[in-house]
Amino acid sequence: MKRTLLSLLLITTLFIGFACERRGGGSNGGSTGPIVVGYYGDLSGRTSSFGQSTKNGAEMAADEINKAGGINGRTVQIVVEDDQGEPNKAATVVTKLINQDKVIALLGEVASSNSLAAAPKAQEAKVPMISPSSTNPAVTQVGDYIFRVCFIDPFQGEVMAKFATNNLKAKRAAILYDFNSDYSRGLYQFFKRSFTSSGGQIVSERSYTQGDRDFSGQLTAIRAANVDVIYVPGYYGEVGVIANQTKQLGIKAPLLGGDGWDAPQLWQLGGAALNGDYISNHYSVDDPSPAIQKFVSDYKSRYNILPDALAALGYDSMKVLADAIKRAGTTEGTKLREAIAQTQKFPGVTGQITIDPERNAVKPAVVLKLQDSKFHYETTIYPEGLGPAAPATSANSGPQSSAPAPQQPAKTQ
Amino acid sequence: MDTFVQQLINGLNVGAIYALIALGYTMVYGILRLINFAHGDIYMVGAFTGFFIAVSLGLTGPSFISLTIVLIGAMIVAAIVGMIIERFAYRPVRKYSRMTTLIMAIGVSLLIENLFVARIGAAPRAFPDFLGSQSQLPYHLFGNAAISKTQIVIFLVSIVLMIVLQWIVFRTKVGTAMRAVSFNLNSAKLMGINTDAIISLTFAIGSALAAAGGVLTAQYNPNIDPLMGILTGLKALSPRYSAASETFPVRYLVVC
Repeated sequence: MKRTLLSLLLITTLFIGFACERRGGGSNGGSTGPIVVGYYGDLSGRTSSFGQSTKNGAEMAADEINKAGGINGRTVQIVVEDDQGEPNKAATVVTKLINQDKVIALLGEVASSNSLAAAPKAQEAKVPMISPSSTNPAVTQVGDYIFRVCFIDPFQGEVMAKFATNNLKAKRAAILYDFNSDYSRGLYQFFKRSFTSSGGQIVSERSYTQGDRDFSGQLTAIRAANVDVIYVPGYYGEVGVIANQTKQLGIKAPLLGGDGWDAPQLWQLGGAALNGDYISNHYSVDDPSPAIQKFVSDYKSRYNILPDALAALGYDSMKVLADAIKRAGTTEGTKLREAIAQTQKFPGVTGQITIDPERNAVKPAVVLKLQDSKFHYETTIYPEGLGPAAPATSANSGPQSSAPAPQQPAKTQ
Repeated sequence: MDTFVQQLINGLNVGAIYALIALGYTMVYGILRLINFAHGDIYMVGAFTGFFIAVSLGLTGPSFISLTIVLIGAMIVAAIVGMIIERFAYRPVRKYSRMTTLIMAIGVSLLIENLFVARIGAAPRAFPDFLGSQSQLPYHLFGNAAISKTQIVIFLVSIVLMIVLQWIVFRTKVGTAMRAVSFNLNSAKLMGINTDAIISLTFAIGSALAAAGGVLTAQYNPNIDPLMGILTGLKALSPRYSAASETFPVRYLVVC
């Protein structure tokens, strides 16, 4: 009896082993069967809104590609892994995606700290990784297999600094940043550099860490410094609360933020306290360009919610990857890497995507105003040498206006 | 000067919440010489119970009555959870070395946290704003110093709860029994005190106070998640040791 059991166990183990082996072998670099792409993101942690939106966007893009006949006759399949928003888990799940699922490319992560933890694994295995929305410059510096389809923090920090000096006429600013986040620390430095070089003054710099519950100490010190604006480059979980406590201390200066604010939960946490604040972001749902409006309505009918910027970037990252596979004609690592690096003027939902030699996307940013639990389009700011010359200072058409400045002409796909 | 006064107000406000949590630590430590690591998680359970009571009863608008219902409901549930933990986790191992109970406490803490993460996810949730703090302006004192309605409520509720606790411990028969057990468990047993019941009651009261702390913090910071108890629990642990005096009012001052 015991022997029968043992042999049965042995056979089962062998069988499972073979089954896994065959699945892996079929998808890796082969020319038939589905193209397996790995997606990793925070689906259950503190920034889970980011991971969920990005995943929705990427899956919608994959479905569209498959409905249109796939890439070179092959369908795309996305394998999803949850890293719970923790860097060490991100590295683990990426290793699993590469070794076990034999993915040909990776999409992820949103938070720069998590991308930074996972990128070395992708680089080592020579599996191209496209981050939809990690904006810290260090992410793509990990190696030549790491790309992104969003702008980077030096630009994002500069956008807010320009907006604060030109549009809000701010002279004195305070910064409240997340000490443990690469994203937040990066934006803090770039905003500071840009704001001071355009004649402004940073009079108070305070920090917090994710999970903090009370910010009144920092905010009281900032209030005493008497500032025009407060730059808070954090994630929505803390920012909603900071906005609330700012108003409870009677601070009138508006808060400025980045794309880390963009999540539906922000409104539940901050509510009316967020009125009059501004953020820089990747795109605006108000944009009348047909490509964007088609994306917004498709997304809304599929998920019953308006797509935030992370969904749009998730969508674009999948489309950029598909375009590169099509041009490369293969899913083999080195050739695919070359093809992604050569991406030129790809018409994405979040603007034209051109991958520069540093493997970053060069794109304009929008500034949105927060009012009554909604983002309202304010202005578009272009990087130097792209789009309508210099920052559009005259385009400040008030919060209620939904007529955006001219966007780069984007063709429908 | 106004900055100083403002930071004093901020400090009293945060300190009031830590004091409520620290009292639970102290009571359990006083009776069992056990650092109850699960106490921070009871605080989290309190906040989430409040959240689920509010959502299931549809209490989301600003109202003092809703806050009172949610506060009392959360305190009762947390008290029961505290008693269950004591009965099924700590009591069976109480006869072994103190280290065993301590490790059990760490285990219970991990169990509660991961149970919540597994059941409802680690994503933060927004606690209903019963005091209208999102839209209300603070009361100005002088200069820039201001105090908000939320801060006043947190402060007053904490003081009331501490007075009630003081009364229970020093003015009632149960309180006398609690002090007797903390003085010497075996002697107390010989004097005819039902020590198991008293220990259970201590956990119930301590847990209820932590839950009150959880609901009150959520009024100040509506962002609640299953891991919120870890850091707060550790922070509340430190005033418990720095407070030298055994009397509560003095301890409260030190905590602040």
